[in-house]
Formats: sequence, structure tokens, C-alpha cells
Amino acid sequence: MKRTQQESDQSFIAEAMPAFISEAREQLENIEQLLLQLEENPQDRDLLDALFRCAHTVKGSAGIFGLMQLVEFAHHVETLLDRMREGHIRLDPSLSTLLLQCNDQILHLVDIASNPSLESDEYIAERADLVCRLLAAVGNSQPVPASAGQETCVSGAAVPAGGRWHVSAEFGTECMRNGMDPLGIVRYLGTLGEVVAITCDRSSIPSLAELDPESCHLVVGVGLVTEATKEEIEGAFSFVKDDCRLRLIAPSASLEHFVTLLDEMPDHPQLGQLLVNIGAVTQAQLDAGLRQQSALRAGGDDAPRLGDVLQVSAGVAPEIVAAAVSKQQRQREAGPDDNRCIRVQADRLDVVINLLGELVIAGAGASLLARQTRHSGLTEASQHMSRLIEEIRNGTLQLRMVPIGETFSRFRRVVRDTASQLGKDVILEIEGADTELDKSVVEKIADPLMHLVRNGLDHGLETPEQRELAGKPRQGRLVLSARHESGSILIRIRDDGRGIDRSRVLKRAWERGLVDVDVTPSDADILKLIFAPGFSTAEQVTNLSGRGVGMDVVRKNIEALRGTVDVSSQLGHGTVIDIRLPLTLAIIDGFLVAVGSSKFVLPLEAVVEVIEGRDPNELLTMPDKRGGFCVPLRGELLPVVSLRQLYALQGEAPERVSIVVVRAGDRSYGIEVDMLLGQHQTVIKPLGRMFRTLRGISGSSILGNGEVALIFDVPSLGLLAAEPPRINTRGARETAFPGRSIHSSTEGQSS
Amino acid sequence: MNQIFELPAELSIYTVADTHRRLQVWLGQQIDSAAAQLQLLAHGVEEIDGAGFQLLGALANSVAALGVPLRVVAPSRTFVETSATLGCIDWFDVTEQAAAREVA
Amino acid sequence: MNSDKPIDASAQTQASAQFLTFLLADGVYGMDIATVREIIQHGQMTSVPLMPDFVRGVINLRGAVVPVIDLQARLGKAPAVVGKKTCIVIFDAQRDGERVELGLMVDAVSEVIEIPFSQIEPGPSFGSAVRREFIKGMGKLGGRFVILLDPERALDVEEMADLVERSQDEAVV
Repeated sequence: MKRTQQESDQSFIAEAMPAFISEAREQLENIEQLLLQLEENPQDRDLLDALFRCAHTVKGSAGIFGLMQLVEFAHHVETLLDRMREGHIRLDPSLSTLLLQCNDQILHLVDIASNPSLESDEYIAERADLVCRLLAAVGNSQPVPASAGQETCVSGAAVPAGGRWHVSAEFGTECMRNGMDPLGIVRYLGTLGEVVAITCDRSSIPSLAELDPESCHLVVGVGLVTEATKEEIEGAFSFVKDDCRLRLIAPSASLEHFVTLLDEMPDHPQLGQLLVNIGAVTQAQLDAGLRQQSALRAGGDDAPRLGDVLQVSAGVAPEIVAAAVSKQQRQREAGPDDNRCIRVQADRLDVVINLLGELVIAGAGASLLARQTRHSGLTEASQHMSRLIEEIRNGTLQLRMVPIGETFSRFRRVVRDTASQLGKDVILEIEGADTELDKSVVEKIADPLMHLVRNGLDHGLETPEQRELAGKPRQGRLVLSARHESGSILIRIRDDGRGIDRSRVLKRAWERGLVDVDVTPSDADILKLIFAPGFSTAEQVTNLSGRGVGMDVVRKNIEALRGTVDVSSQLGHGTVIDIRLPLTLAIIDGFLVAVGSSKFVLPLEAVVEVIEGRDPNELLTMPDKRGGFCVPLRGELLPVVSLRQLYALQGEAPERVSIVVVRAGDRSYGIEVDMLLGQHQTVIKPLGRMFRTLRGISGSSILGNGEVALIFDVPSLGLLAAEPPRINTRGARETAFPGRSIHSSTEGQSS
Repeated sequence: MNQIFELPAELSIYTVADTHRRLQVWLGQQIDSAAAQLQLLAHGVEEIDGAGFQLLGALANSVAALGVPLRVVAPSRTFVETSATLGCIDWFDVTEQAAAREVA
Repeated sequence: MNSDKPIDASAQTQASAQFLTFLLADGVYGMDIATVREIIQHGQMTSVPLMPDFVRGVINLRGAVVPVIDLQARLGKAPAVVGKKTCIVIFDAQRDGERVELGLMVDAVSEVIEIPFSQIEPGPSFGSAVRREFIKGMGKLGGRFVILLDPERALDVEEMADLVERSQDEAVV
């Protein structure tokens, strides 16, 4: 049973819809960025053109899918953009806001294409309001073309009946000799409506010497606002039809847009429907063409392709037909995709990366065995393999890295809208947008960042009046920056606002019982209090940042990513929030050490040097309560952490120990270990949610023999070692660290 | 040497062939004398059509190749309106100056 | 989540459920088999420093690092002693829509039994060493009682994470 036209259409639409939606969303994101850039540079013509093209593309594809609401709404936006391009309207903040809101509405219309239940009265009312404002903005410029008629602000119904056509006419060489005057035809066009633009292309005319003055080389392009139909407009050229190459472009699309549309359209075998959908032909023309085609087939002739038939009977521009036909042909010869990017499903990539991790381990194991055979050829071969594995590993890890700039850009809109809602003038600066980090980290850090930015806008930055009083420039600065820092990524949110008032924070902490009333913590600890649960210093909890999502949740989310967050602030000058996140999640070049029966991995990039063969009992300084001490190193004292003491590890220290000197930022310190086990490339395995607060340790790795070793986070290990000891509420050392050794407690009792 | 060419009262499909010849001669003379600018006197134009503008367009193309400006001087109302209708007003440098004294 | 059987259909239509039973020092415990993935022998384990009693360490489970909870210690009793029959029960804990694998260290694994809901009584309101909310109920089987755990409460990852944090704060000098 042959499918009906409608069934074909519907399945075509269903298949193609997801692609349309995802691409439309991308375009709309572009539009938002362009609008924000345009606000800063209203004269930039290129931005305006790019903006117009994006809007045009969205509208055109929506037309293909029959999303008429979207097309109608976008049409109004385009009219406004057109006026702006012609220079009749200037972009000002209120217009910019209007356009941003329209962009949001278009996004909503895209959403309801796949999920109609998202529509609501609120949206409908908002849409009507936006249309009224768009028309008002346009109406204030050039006189509204007569054919636009009485626009009423009723939802969805306010599209002018006609519109602006583009008529492009290449008059044939014989037309003047045949007694026709192009000028006369243009005059006649003017009686159908209003000619709002006309150009005559001089470059198609030969030089004086070469010219045959009675041949016609004129090419004319006319912008015609009219309510006439395509047929009526064509009628103006009926006397020169044979001599003239005529192209009419309907109000809703442009010629190159037609061609582009055909290219972008999902493949659809019905060429004729294609052309009707883009308005190149009318339904009547299509039907006539089909009849002609079947008549020819019945007559035994080789049925010409529908494209050819239409061209003859309807005067469809040949480029359009050619594009549609080539589209059809391409469908048959599946050619290679010449895009530079391909979409990859994230979980497939994860599978590959996991396998790669296993490969690294297996390769290390094989290398070890090869070395033991002392077979030079085998050793060399396995080394070669290790090098290749390393290259693949580096390349694959890169695949998951995305620049953080994409996330940062989204904040421009937030800052703009939020600042204006709060009556503040704030500029957002972005630094290090091309700093890359793992895709999953980027996704998860967006929400905490958003909250911190909102918080800064809300509580940190003052109003212009307050700033002026304080002798600051009226415009506040919020800087979002990102950079790599020794194996981590550092994201910094900096504002030049009022800073954190320690006394208010402390007062609140006392009120909330977070700190005992007679205790005054250090400055650093006071600042940390803002991350304590149940804390908020805002006089009024505004809608924006105070709604139940506290800074403690932000901290927890960051810690869940194995990250840390720190605050520093200068009263009156501003606040800096530093977020540190691990950079690569998958594979680490590590330095393996052993203390007692435990093995640990130090990130190789943090290891500076190694001091071997120390007598553990030789102490040059008194150890502190955590067992830390100092050793001289090239004239300076190096603080050393005793892992045994710090982590209360079991077992006797061996006769000789080693110190691994590591660097964290600009500080160095040493770690005393029992044994050095050498360089080890291992796969990082996250420890999981339960261990999100683990200090000094950033993850675990599986060694070649299957054993699990913990990976140190060098900066936080240093901090841990430096922290003053807290109250010990635990009993004997044994219960504090339930290792593999025998417990001294009695057997299970009770019943 | 006269630099000004006076356009005829009718510049249409019927007269373009003749005007074309005369223009070619005139242009040749101007080139020989290395004229600094070329001027068309259009105050007498009462009728002009597509063919006429096409001719002027060809002239403008040739003159542009010389790097010398082509001015239309004292255009008649008809000339101005018709060139606007056909969309070729930007082909020429149109001035309202009174015709120069040297008219052939 | 993506099983073909509707969740809980068996429970509702058949009015009973299957429980994995195991032994801790002081009795027989059980938990719903639905979330249990597998049972492995106690073997090589890596300790994590400064953890509360109930965090025994982590193990390598086919390339994934899984935390092992000493169930006995978690329920407030003394830490378990590792014996010949000590096993680790691997099950899925859910938290905020995120699936987390946990290992439970138990003295021995018994059998899978089916207990009809009619045979499940609420837990004792006092007198039990185990926190009340950790227990779903008491299953009666023959003459014995099986203490049925509520893993969502007893093994709530967030609560355990908070305890992990606190135990580091209270660290050894």
C-alpha cells in the first residue's frame, strides 16, 4: 500500500524533528551571545548581519516543519532586525531586552514543537505582548508599508497579509528589440504595491565599445511590499517571460536561503513537496506539474523528472530545483560527511576511556614482565607499545575536555538580567575562557558557579549610588577566570564590591549557634563560616540567591567533584572565591610509595625530589603534635609530614626511611615514607560519594597487581598536616584505624 | 577642449544607436586630451527609457575603468525621476551645477 | 530501573518478598534481595586512614573501587572480626537518583528466603541495640526472628559521608 503524502510527511517530520530542535537551540544560543555582544558594540554591522542570518535560519527551518506559530513570531522579530540593518532603528537597552525576551520566546516555541503540553496561557499572553512591542518598535521607524494593514494585538494573528517580496529580474537580450522596456515593467510593478528598494546592476552591462545598444543586459532587483500573490507579481513580467529570468522570493525566505534550506533539510524524496514547502512554487503549480508528469509517462515518454517539469511550467528558479535535485541524489549515494565535527555519545566515549585505563594497566604489567625476561628485543617492543599507549591516552583524554568558556558565556545573560533586576550596574569579565576541563566536571560545576555569581551580585556588589559614595566607579566588576594550576583547574570569582563584614558574619554565627558565644575564631575561620549549614547574612533573603540553596550546598557540590573552595575578602574592596578542581579524571602519572602495609600514589608532577636513606629516629627538630618535623635542605628548613603519625598507620618504622619532596603551589614540603616503589602510571578511580570529604586524598588507583592505592592530593595534604590538632575524642589508636590487623576488642557480645 | 556631452532630448531605444556612436567619438576625444573629468549635460532630457540608461551605464563602466569621474550636470526632472525608478541613480555623480559655459 | 518487571509488582501481587539472610555476631539479619548484586569472599582490602569504625576500607571490584562497610560496626556494635566465612555483599545504594555500589561485610551469608508480609512485624520500640530507623521490621520464620534491615536508612550514603567527615575532624593527635 503506497503511503499517502501525509503519512510520508509525518514520518519525515518525526524523524527530523530532534535534529531540528537541537540545531535550532544552538542557533538561539548564538543569537543570545550576539545580542549581548551587540549591546556593547551597537555599530558593529557584522554582528547585526550574523544575528539576522541566525534568526533567518531558525525561521526557515521552522517553516519546513510547518511550525507556523514560530514562523509568524520570528517574522516580527526579523522585521525589526531588518529595520535595524537598514539603519532606521538603533539598538538601545530596552530594545535589547525586548530582543532577548523574544529569543526566549522562540526557544519556548521550539520546545513546544516536540512537547506541546509545555504551552500555557502565560506564554501565550507573553507572546502577544512581545508582538505588540515589536510592532510598536518597528512602527516608530519608517512608515509602515501600506499593505501591512491594521495590525491587531491578538495572539498569533498579527502577521501582515502581504509582505515584502524580492523580485529579481534578468531581462533577456532580445526583450528591447521585441518592444519591451524594462523600465515600463518596473513601473508596472510599482502599481501592485510599493517599491521600497530597487537596484539596477551596472556590472552586467558591457563597456561602451562592446555594447550593442539595442540588446538588453539589464538586471534589476526590486523590493516590493505588496499583498499581491506570486502569480500576480509574475504577471507583470508576462510579456517578457520568455526572455527574462525571473526570481521571486516570498516574504518568508530569501533565495540563497532556499538553497541553503534545501541543503539543511533532512532528505525527503518528494521533490515537489519540498519546493512547495519553501514557497518556490504554489500547490497549484505542483499539482499541474504532477499531472503533466504522469501524462508524459502515460504517453510513453521517459517521464522527465519532476524538477524539470516544474521548471518549465512554473518558472521555478533553476538554482532551487538544482539544489533540490542534488539533495535527492545525495540521498542515494551516501557520501562522506564533510563536517569538521561529529557528535559523539558521551557514554560511548566513557567506555573507550575505561578500556584505555585497563590498557594502561595491562601495558604496565606486560612491560614489567618483559623487563624481567631481560630479552632486549621484547623489552624494546614493550617500551614502544607503552609509548603508543601513552599517546593514545593523551589523545583520548583530550576528547572529553571542553573549554570552560562555553559555560562562562552563559553567565553574561544571568549577570545582565540579575544586575538590572537589582538596580545595579555590573560588567562581567571573563578570563581564560579557553581553559579546558573534563566535560562532566564542566556540567557539574555550572550550578555552584551560578549560585556564587548570583550571590556576588546580590550581596557583594553595591548599587551605583552606594559605590559612588564609597568613591568607587558606578559600574561594578565581576570577573570569572579559569586557569590550570599544577594538575588542577582554578576557577576564580572576583568582585570589587563591599567585601565580607567579619563582624556581621560572627554575629550571625553566634546567633545560629554555629560558634560558641565566647569564642572568636581566627579571620580565616570566620570566612569559612559562610559555608556552614544554616547560615545566611542577608538582611532580606532575596529571591535570587537565598532561596534555600545555601553556600553549604555549594561547598558540598564542589567537594563532591573532589574540589575545594576558599574565600578571601577585603572589607570595602571586594571578595575572591577560589574553586579548585582536579583536572584529569582518568589516568595519572604517579609515584608509588609504601608506608607500613599501605601503598600510596603521589602525582608525579608534584614530586620535586627524593631524599633517601634517613634514619627515622634522627630528628633535628622537635616533632609537632602531628608528628611533623623539619629537615634542612640546601640551607632551608623543609617541613616534613610523617604519614605514619598523620594517618595513625600501623607497624614499625623500618631502619631507613625516605622523604619525598613535593610542591604545592609555591610551597614545598616533604613526606616521610618507608619505601619508594617508583614511577607508576595508574588509572584514577573516584572513591565515591561517601568519601567526598576525605582530606589529603583525591582518589584511588588500581595498581598492576589489582591492589588499590590511595592517591594524595598534595596541596590539601600539606594543609592537613599544618592544621592545628583538634580535640581527640577517640580512645586507643587501634579503634581509630581499623586496619587489617587484629582488633584488641573482645568478640561480639550482646544478644 | 569640451568636456561636456549634451544628452539629447530623447534617449530611448529609437535613438540609442545614434547616441552610442556620438558618445564613443566624444569619449575617444576626452581620453586623448587626458580630461580630468567628464560631464554629461542632462537638462534637456525629456524622454529616457531602459535602453537609454543602459547606454549611460555602459559609458559609466568605461569611464570608471579610466579612473575619471563622470558627472551628470543639471539633470532634468525627468532624468532624475526616471533614474530613481529604475534604480540607477547611483551610477552617476549628479550635481545641480549650472552647465559649464563650454558647450559644444 | 530499566527492568521489564514493574517495580514492586512481585511484592504487591504476591504479598511477600525475598530476603538475603546473613549472620552478624549477634543474630540473623536480612535485607531485600532486590538491590543485591553479588556476594564475594573477603579478600585484599585497602584501608582508608582516619575512618570511622564502620568503614573497613575499599576493594577492587573488577576495576571499580567499592567501599566496604562493616555492617556490625555500622549498627552500633563492636567492629567485626574477620573469619573464614566472612563475606562481602555488594549491593546498589541509591541517593538522589545516583546509583552507588557498596560492599557490606558480614560474618557469613546464609540463604535467600521468602517472607510473606503478613509475617513481618514492626521492630521493637526499645531494648534493641540497633537504631530503630535502621530496621524495617522483624520477619518471623519458623521459630526465629530475622532482623530486616532498611538499607536506605542504615546505609544512607550521605549520613555515612557526614560521619566520615566528622571522624577526620576528631583525628588522632
